[in-house]
Amino acid sequence: MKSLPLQTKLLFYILGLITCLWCIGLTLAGYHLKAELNKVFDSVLQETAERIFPLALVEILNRDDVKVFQQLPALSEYEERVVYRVVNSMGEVLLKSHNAGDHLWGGKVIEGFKTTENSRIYSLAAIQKRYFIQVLEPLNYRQVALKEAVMLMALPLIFLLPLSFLAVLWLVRKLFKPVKQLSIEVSNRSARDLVPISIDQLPQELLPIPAAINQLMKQVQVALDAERHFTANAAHELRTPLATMKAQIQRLEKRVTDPEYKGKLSQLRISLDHLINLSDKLLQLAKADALSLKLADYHPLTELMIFIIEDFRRSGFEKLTLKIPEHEVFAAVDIDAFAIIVKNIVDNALKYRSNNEPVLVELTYDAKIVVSNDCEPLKQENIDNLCNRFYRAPSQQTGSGLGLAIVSTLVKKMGGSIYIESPIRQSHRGFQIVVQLKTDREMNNALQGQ
Amino acid sequence: MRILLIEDTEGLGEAIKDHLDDEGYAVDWVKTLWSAESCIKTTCYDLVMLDLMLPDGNGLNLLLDIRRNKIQIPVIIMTAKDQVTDRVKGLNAGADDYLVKPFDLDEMAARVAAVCRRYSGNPNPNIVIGNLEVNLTEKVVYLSDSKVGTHITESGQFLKFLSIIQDSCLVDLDSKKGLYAFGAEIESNTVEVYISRLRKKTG
Repeated sequence: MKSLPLQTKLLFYILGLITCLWCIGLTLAGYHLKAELNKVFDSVLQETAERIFPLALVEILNRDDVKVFQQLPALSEYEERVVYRVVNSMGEVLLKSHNAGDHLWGGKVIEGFKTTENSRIYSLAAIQKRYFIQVLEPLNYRQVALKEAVMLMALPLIFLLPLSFLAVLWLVRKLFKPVKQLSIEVSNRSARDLVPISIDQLPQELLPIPAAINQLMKQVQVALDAERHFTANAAHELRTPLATMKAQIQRLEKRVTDPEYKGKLSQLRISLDHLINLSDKLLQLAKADALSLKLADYHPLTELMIFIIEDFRRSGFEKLTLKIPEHEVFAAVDIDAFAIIVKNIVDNALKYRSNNEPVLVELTYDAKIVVSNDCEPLKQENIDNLCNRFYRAPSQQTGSGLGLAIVSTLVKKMGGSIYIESPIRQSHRGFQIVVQLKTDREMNNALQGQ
Repeated sequence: MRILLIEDTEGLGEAIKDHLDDEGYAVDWVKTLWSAESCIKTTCYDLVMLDLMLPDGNGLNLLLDIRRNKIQIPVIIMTAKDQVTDRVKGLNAGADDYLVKPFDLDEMAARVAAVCRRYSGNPNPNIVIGNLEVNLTEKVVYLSDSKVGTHITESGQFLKFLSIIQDSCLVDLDSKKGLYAFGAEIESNTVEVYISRLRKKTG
């Protein structure tokens, strides 16, 4: 499972912590408020009892019959929040307020405070505990008061929480900006791009990271350069003796007049040419397998294409038609690898074309190399295997079976794709290979639009 | 035409020299940069064939020196470095052509001839003197469009000489110098002998 970015996590943790602290504060305040409210309300009950009791006692004792029950009528219509009653030690009710129902009082009279399911009751005794006054207040008034008070306290917090969210978001983003930049820079680095990382205002704690990465990339660059040089040197060391052999054989061919020896020398030269071709392909394959392609920059391809095709023409292959776009084409390629790709696919087309027919090479504005030649159509199973190493499609020509494998490896490494078609669309013959290179579409479109 | 061949590989240098000799060029073969510099300072060459990786340095530096000193000699690089970047580097340094080893000796000779023609300002491989036409590529002489001699290999030097003097009536010493390499036996009447042979063939 993909973990959340550190910035998002930090944001959530800080906001969660702030919310929790506020909730704890609010709860503690609520408890404290509840206790204080209870004290106030209890004090009111006690005060009411102490005020009413003497008056009620005088009124009861002045009666003809003390045991006569009396309920005081309401002087005006109002909600009676506090009710009271006076009872004797036998539990007989002698006096009560107009809303003081009998079901409210909850059994035996106990001096002091008592809490029933819905009420808070204060009882006070007088005249050697022969008379009691009980003052009752429903609990829901206290609960409503507490709830309203807590809500009033929470209200500013509800507005402050989004504000804190925005403040924390801004702060985290500001602090994380260099970290994010570092992350982008690091993720952009690969064997294609080993440019040192340079970020301003990086936090002290993160400074060792780019330093270590830059050091590592420097070492990788040195290793890649060494690899490139090794391939180049290996090519040189191998080609020089082969060149000597070829030149000497050619000289001998010119000097020897005996037809038998001349024929043998000719065979030797053909074998040597095959060896030269094979060593070339193996060196190209070694280069293709190596990671040392330079793909950091976008290069113009038109001139390079002309240069390579002209080279073929100078070597005697005149029947090559090159079609290039009107505007320059840019693609992220390693120039040497690009040349190897073009050489191999053109070489392939020249080798397998039928009846010395011309080969068409096209570079399109969207960085496609299209090479077509006339030949008998290939079977699908042959096409599917053409890019495999040492695979040779049935043909009278002898090849190393490495050319298209090299092309395929290099194209994949450069982030491109390869497509082979035989017979060519809208025809019943021919072979066409299309290499799509990774291109800067915006740049090429802009050039196209000019 | 006189060519300076700079190649440190014994067998290869020998084969190239022999082939160019057969083609009618006078070839001075040296194996180090130091010797090449001395040759260029003292002798006027028509073409330099330059290997890059030499025992005492990179041939590219010699090429840069030649161009820096504004010496107008065509230079063909011969090297085993086949990468396009190396070739572009060589051509940008002022080389006129670039041959990748191993190469075909006939292709090499064709490139040498093409570069020489380009430098002489006459890209045409045919020398025309009056109604006499000499095809330097095929080594064939035509008189009034009729073939009078084929594969005059032994007169390769002479044909080159004709190409030098085709626009001039006088044969000067410098023109003749271009026909002989260091150590070659110079016969003072070589040109005269070949002219005599050609006269016989053309009637």
